[in-house]
Amino acid sequence: MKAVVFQPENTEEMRAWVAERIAAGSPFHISSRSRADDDLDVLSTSHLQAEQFFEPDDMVIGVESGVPMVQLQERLAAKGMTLPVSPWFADDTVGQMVAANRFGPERMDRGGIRDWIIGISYVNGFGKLVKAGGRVVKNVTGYDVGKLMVGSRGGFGPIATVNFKMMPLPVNPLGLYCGLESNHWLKWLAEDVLAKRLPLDWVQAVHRKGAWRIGLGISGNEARQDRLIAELQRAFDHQLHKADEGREPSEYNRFSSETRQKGFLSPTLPDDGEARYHLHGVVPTGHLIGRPRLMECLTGLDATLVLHPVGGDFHLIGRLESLTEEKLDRLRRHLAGTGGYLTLEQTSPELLESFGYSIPLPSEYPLMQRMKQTLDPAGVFHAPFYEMV
Amino acid sequence: MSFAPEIKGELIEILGAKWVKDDPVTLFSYRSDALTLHPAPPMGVIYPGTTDELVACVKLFHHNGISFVPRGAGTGLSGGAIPRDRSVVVEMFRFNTIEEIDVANRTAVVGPGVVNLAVTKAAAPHGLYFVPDPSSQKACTVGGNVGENSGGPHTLKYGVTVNHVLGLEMVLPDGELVRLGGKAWGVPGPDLLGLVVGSEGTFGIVTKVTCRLTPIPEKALTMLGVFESVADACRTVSDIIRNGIVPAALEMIDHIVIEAVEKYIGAGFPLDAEAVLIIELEDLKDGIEDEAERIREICRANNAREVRLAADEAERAQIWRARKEAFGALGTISPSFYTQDGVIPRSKLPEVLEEILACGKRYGFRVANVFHAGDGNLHPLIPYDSQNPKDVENVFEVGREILEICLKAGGSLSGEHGIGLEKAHMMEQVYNQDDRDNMIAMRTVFNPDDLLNPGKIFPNPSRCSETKVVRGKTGIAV
Repeated sequence: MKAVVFQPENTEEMRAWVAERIAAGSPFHISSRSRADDDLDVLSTSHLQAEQFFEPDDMVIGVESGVPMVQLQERLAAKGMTLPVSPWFADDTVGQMVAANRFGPERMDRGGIRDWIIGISYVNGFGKLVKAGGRVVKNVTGYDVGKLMVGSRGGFGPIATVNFKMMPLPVNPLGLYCGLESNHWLKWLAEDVLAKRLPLDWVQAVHRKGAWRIGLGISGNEARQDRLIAELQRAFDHQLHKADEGREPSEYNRFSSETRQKGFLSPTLPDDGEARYHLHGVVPTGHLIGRPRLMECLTGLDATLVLHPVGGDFHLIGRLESLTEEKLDRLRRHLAGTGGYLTLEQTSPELLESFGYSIPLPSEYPLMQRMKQTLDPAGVFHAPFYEMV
Repeated sequence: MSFAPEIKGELIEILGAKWVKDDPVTLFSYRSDALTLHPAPPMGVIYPGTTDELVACVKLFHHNGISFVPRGAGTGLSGGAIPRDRSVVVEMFRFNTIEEIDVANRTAVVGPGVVNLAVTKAAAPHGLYFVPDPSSQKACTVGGNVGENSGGPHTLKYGVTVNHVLGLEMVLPDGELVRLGGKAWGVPGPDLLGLVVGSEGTFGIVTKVTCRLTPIPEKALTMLGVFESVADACRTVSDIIRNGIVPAALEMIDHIVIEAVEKYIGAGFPLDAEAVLIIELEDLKDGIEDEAERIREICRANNAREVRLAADEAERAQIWRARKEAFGALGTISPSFYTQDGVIPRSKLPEVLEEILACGKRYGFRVANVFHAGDGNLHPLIPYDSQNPKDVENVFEVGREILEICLKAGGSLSGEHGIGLEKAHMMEQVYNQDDRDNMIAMRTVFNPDDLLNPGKIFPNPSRCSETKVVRGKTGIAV
């Protein structure tokens, strides 16, 4: 039988549909897309696009979960505001960002999406539309359920609305860029930038075909920028050149805030239609940039590496056929002892079978499973993440 | 009531006689935390020194169905560590070791009994610090900060405790030892760590905390705006942020507190001012003066009669001492005062403050205000006479009405003190039954039998009438 895709027009419709599925014990996927990839029915949040409230003076906004991140950023920017969290891909929605815990190069100083959520509502495993948090920037009233939903991967129910606090747009944002071949710049970053505690807005590096493209984001008034540029030029051996946030034609435009807000991984996707893999790693900063052999392993794969060295995460995107068990196993060995994790965001069923979604499993994984069993007693929210051993 | 002899015997076997107490003086001392309005003596107090000892004690309590409550320094203001139902108090001060400062990964691994400020002191030689800085930071512990998701004056720019904790080790109420997070900024899967921080000791007893450390800013500038009206000071707060400036701190002190602070420490605040605004900028030294000048202009445009810039570190420290000791300073005006904690949308500060003052006036109280203006996090202080039964009764009512004013304005019951025992009865005004049941379902994953810190955050239906009786008691020393 063909899988059904249900696209509720409002949160009450969504609640009623989920309650029916719970009563019938019928599992389904939760997705922001409007197609079914397998024989399981899909609840798509793509039509939930209403704005609940927007108070620029209070720096808060609430939206339904199907709002694309790009649209949210546009609304905020029109009022001089931003949510300093970049989507991975151009079509990421607010709900997807929360459920998959997506964040970008700005996390180094300002935190990931978890740090901006002030309220949430979702349909729980008892078919109720429940809420937590509120509309104010600081709130410890009850448990922080919004945090629990970050990274929950649909396991606890479909998200209906998310409330965020936000920040003013950076003043005079500027990107400093360079291209380098060796990994030495990571040492420069550790010793001359981090050790001097220089406040950067973002750092992103892309390694492809044996070469790095590195971007450093700064902002502020003239005196502040002059100082940062001078320090960073010294650290990077005067190899940086500046671009006014991607407005000049440059191969570095993919680093600009405009591009980042449209999904900073989108430019790295192959356009040849070939099947790809996508691995996401999180590693403590010091271990990520301080272990040359780990970095050699990451750059030695036939893949595009997108690295956020401060805050500690990376993405590996490559042709699916090039990823072997041996390569993944090597990566696992290099990650061992770093306190880091590798999530298999997209790969072959065979590799998933061998390695699971997360390498290694977090120590709290049994608690996550218990939480899933308690909050989804009918087992209708299909989320393979919770089904690893 | 003290420990049953057999329980006491087993506890002594695990901990040694020195660390098991149920004498009257101890029971009296632990009858409340810093919220002294709802005292309840414990069955006894234990002082475990290691995780193994704690696990053994918890297993004993679990096996015997004895409820228990973790406690840090007892500085909590919502009654989170009050031992309702004759619970055993588990005092965590012996977990006071800073195990590691990891400079490369900018983390500190500390015991929950480590005092908040001690983390910063240990990290400072490496150019790092622990951001959460509640006013009680000289006394409060990191474990307590985790339990309450504590804030402080600098949360506007940097966030609260949950934003600065990467990992926890904790003992669940059945004695299971679990680890959440680590040194990486996140783990795959749902953010259990984020759920546990701020759960007010109802999920587990934390035995180890991995703190995220932040680079000490190169330069901090502290300014003092002096205003002749609270409304002008409030408008200044909104205008600063509307201009794209996010200071590290934006704190307001009203006339009553100014008076008290001047009596207490003589910070040099003008006694004839209606309000002062403390504005702190933190950044590179280059360009920060220009930012300060922009703030000065905004203050002036809002009728500030004076804008001072702390000339040196000593003057800066004096301003912050005045702010952080403001609660204590109120003691010069009244030996008893009730501290509230509510949050409102920042743009509604002027009208809400007026409502709060009017509310106090209706009951004959002069409500003082010192608060985190940038976050809209209010701390109305209500001086009252603890020997006057009518005053005690009324102060509860004013506190409740103030929170209702905050809720009506679109705010919340607490910004940083927690719900604890104090506000549990008001949760139904914020969350409906489904919302509360959903949260309670989460608690059952960790604390299925409600043995750990019972009666906190959510009202326990079987104890509602009892709570009302306690709240109606008069003459409770504060």
